[in-house]
Amino acid sequence: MFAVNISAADLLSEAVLLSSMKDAENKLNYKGVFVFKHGNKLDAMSIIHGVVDDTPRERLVSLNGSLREVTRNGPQVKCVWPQQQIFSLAPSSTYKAVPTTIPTDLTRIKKVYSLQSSKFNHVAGKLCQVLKIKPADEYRYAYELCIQPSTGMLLRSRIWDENKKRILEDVMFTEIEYLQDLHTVSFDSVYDTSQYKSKKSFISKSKSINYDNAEEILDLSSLPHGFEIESASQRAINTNHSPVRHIVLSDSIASVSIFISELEHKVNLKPMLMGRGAINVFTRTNDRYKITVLGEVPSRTVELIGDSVKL
Amino acid sequence: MSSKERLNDKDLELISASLDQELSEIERRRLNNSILLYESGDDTGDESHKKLQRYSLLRSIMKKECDEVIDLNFSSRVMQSIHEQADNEFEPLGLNDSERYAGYNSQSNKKINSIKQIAGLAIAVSVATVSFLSFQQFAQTNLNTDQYSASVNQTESWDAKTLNSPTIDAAEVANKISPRVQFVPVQLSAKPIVGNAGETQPQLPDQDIEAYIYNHSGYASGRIISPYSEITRLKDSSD
Repeated sequence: MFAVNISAADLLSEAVLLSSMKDAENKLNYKGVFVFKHGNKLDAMSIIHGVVDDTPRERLVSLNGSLREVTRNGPQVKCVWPQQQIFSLAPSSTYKAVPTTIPTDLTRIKKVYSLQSSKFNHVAGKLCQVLKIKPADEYRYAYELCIQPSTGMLLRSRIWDENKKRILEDVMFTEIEYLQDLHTVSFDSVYDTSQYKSKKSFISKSKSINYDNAEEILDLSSLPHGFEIESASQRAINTNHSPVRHIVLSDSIASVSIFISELEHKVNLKPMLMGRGAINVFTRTNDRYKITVLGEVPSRTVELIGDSVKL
Repeated sequence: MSSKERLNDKDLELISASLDQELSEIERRRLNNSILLYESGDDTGDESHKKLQRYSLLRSIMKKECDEVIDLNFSSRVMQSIHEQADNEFEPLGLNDSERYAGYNSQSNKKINSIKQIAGLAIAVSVATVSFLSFQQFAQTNLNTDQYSASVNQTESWDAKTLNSPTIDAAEVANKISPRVQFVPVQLSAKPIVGNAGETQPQLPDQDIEAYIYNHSGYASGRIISPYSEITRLKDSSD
């Protein structure tokens, strides 16, 4: 049922809206369908999400394209491709099934973005309040969120390019139902994978390295304004013969990863820039290292960050 | 017979028999020379030929012999329309709230909202259509015992161009947008990378980048990538 008698006085402040959105992620139990447009692809997924005994549980099933199922039980994430009869298991520290960004630190956000919430919309038959997050410069994207004020549920999320001309990604719920009673069986995989091939996960083991080391590697003064080092670690990644340094930068919404790997053989690769949807990747090499920068930021940002690596 | 007159049952039987190729030569002449020419009001025969084609098409549809004509571009056209509308929707932040809210209740915005609802419905129909088609495709591909290797062969390549300069000047980078080349993050092929001048570059170890994207997804952005990407070249655990 659409609410029709709404007024400007009903609008929540940006801070309250963001706070309720963050809480909803850990409190709401729901099932629904969302569509995800990224690049030239359109994915429709059904999802059931809930918290059982303080453990987040989720199950996603693809509704178009090749059949895929993802189940999450706490930090353990299992992806199954029944047609190929393969599955992968992956631990994840920051897993989010719905590919949206939920900003939390309002103080940091306001340093490099401006926020505006001035109207309502309807998504999946629910009233939601539109929150626009506009970047202060051309080194980050713009975001448009639609949040249900009564629940904090993020019903739609769009990423615009830095010029606000083109939508790079669009996630929208088309159906959502909030659940009072949860049945744990709803979160279990329907596939018996005992005969399936197991795939090595690309998600790696890591050990932390100290921040001083990371700051020695980067020319911080040349980073785009607002980007700070979030973490620095050394990862054992299956595809590399030696550990890879992984530095994560964030401006409070957008995240950028820098991977630095030692070259096994000296190769003369020219700088490369690639991208799809909102993701951009920049790679360059020097005599000893390959530097790869990637994230959901404009291409100029990954280039600039890539160039700030001093190794 | 006048073109205004309706065909009688016998005429219709003749047309039906003609479509089923059951006419004798005499009956065929009668159909061509009298019924269709008179019925179409044209003595050249062109109109009667078109009419016979229309009847034939109708007959095929009635008998479900016609291939289903499904507009596969429908979804993309709907999305494009919404994007065009959305382009105008992201307004500058300069307007004050009361102006914006007043606009929300205006007649024009009500019209836009109606369009949005219709577009939303169109998307839902589109998604349902895509799902249905995908299901059909899934059912068909299940019959293909070599489906997995086929999907590898159909995978798009890393059609990556390289930047021209081997080293990048920081000041120059800040003011320059390099050409951005589309890639498929985890659908990788072994095709060589071709540079701007068409020269072959050393193959970038694409699995590195694939692995990096996964680690970025898991430890930096938190946006899961697996269900939204095809898995075609992951290593077996036995590798």
